[in-house]
Amino acid sequence: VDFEPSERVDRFRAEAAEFARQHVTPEVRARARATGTMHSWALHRALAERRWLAAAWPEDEGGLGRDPLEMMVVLEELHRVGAPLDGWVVTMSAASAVRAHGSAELRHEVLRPIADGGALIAIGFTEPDAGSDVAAARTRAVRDGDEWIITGQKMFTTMAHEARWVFLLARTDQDVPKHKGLTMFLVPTVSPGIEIEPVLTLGGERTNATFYTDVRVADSMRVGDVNDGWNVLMTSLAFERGSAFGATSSFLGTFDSALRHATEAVVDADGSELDRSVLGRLGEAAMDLEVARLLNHRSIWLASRVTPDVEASMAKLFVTERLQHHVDRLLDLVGPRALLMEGSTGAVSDGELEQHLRHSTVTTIYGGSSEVLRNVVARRGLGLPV
Amino acid sequence: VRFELDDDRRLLRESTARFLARECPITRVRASEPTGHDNDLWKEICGLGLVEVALDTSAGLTDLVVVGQELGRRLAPVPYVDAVLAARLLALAGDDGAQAVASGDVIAAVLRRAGGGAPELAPAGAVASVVVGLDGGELVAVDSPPGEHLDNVGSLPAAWRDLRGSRRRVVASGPEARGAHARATVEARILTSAALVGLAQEALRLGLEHVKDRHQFGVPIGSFQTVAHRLADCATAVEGAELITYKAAWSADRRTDDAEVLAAIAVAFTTRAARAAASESLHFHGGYGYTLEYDIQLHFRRAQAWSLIGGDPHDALVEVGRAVVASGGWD
Repeated sequence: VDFEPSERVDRFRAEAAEFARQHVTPEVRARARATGTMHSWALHRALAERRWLAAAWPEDEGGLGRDPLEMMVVLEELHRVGAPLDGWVVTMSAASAVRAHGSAELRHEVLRPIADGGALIAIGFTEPDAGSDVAAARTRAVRDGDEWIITGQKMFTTMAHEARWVFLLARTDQDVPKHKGLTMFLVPTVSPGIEIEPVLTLGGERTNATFYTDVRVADSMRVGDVNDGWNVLMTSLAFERGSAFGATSSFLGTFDSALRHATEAVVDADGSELDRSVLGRLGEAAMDLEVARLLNHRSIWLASRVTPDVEASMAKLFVTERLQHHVDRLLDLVGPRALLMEGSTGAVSDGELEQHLRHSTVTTIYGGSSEVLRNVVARRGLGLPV
Repeated sequence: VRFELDDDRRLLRESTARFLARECPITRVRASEPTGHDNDLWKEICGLGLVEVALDTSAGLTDLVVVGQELGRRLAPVPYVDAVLAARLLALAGDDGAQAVASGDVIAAVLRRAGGGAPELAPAGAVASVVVGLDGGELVAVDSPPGEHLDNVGSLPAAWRDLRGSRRRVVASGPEARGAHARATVEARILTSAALVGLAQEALRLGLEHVKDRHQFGVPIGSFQTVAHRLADCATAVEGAELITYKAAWSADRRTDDAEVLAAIAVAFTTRAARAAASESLHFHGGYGYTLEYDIQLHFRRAQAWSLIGGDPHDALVEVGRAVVASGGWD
């Protein structure tokens, strides 16, 4: 075992930290907070200029051939300063599947604009009646010559209002087992028949419900084979769970920030020696944060050789469950002031702590609920017949 | 970074595991109760040179953790942690006694509290003929007869020991003595963590084996989500415990700035993970879990004892909290 980051990674971290200081301005953060859209085109284009958006891709695809740990440090440094990165993160999980399964023509049309920072992809898997059971999707795609006609509804289509395409899972065969009758498409958001309705969330992030009424999509926009959509979906989920782009990295940023703000607040409020109970609670949060980071780093390290499934699930499960537990307790430590929102007199770190509390509720749900992840760990990690 | 053992360590792990599978079956652990000491086994382990590694005080913790984890896994009834701590303390001070401790000729107990004076419940106190500890500003080694074994929940060869006695020698004094003892505290935490990780992995294995095999309502009980999910949480914590233990050992070997805090985090975290793995596994054994015939109770009792014998695990968290306050967060 060796816990020393390579020099290359260290250098990249320093570069990323400098970039974050320069480009994640108070205006960028304020705008994201005000609109709920966790994306900044200015920041996104600055990342594109450095060719960092798809830095893990080979150079001839617009990347730099960086390894997963190097991608991780960029995301860590940006998350640390509260950069709104959802647009980038969701785009990359869809793009990873397009790279793996898309036709040459489709890859050419889609991947270059993504690496260049000109386009985003939104995710359209979940439906009102298909959440964790995503294979139960009912949105239909019916073939009509060289086109498909799509009808249905998707939930949590985050970034659909900014994206060029929705990465959409649709049912193409009703007469086979549910996993075997699905096909994946990239549906242009400008297509007639699409309606995008904002959905506001407790954490302050804007997501969307999207409605599809006889939306015509060219067959060239199909990702992977007909009725092979489940496989395409799995590629995308594996990327999301196992790579630096996993939600885990952003949740670690929240954890880190919550602990910092709570520590500052209790130290400021109490000039005297803090008592054992306060120190113990801060210590416990730091302990779990350290272990969460290790689980995440191990999973990302593994990603350079295999697709971590169990390890990635453990990392996400642990960080989100512990984040929720500790944010709740850290607010208590700070006292009633921790309840005050941005702009209120006496608010802690301008309301960041209470924002973390609200945001933490999404973490054990989004990107695989804790129950789904425990099933993965139990089944594939422990061999239990659950 | 590399999150896997290198070839040498992997071989060390495999050979230690093979040796213990042969020489330390659970029947031998049971036979050692209640004193919790098997001198023949200890001689064999020392004969393999597994403690001698400790004498290189500039490094070696990672190797010691590899061995300690396997001993913990097998609940080996031997005073490994105290032997390693004593050998390193004495070696660091250039004391002649180090070699005898590493070879197993002399069994040592190390008093964990700084300050000396008051008797301390020493985990190897009932078998040790030399006690090492900090007495005021001096690090001393006292030759004295083993104490009276006291029955305890973890079947440790524990006895009250202190630093009194006429055959007392000062091995270091002043800042050097305090530094050496502080270092031993860090190492004690890391080695305790290693033992707890091994114990936790084995407890989890026993629990999994049982819930896959045990049928109720016509299905294996491991197919119930409540059972499976609670074990998934245990397994996740045990993975984290192993990672933090190796990171703490790696950091201590390199004398990094955060080595002390990482050792505190390691012992606090492995304590929870091991206790949870043992108690959950015991629970999922149903009524069998609390019969003496089943082995899981052996792990349950030791999970508590090994993690408490060095002091309230919450103390470690308070120390971590101090570090958090000092640096304004945890980077």
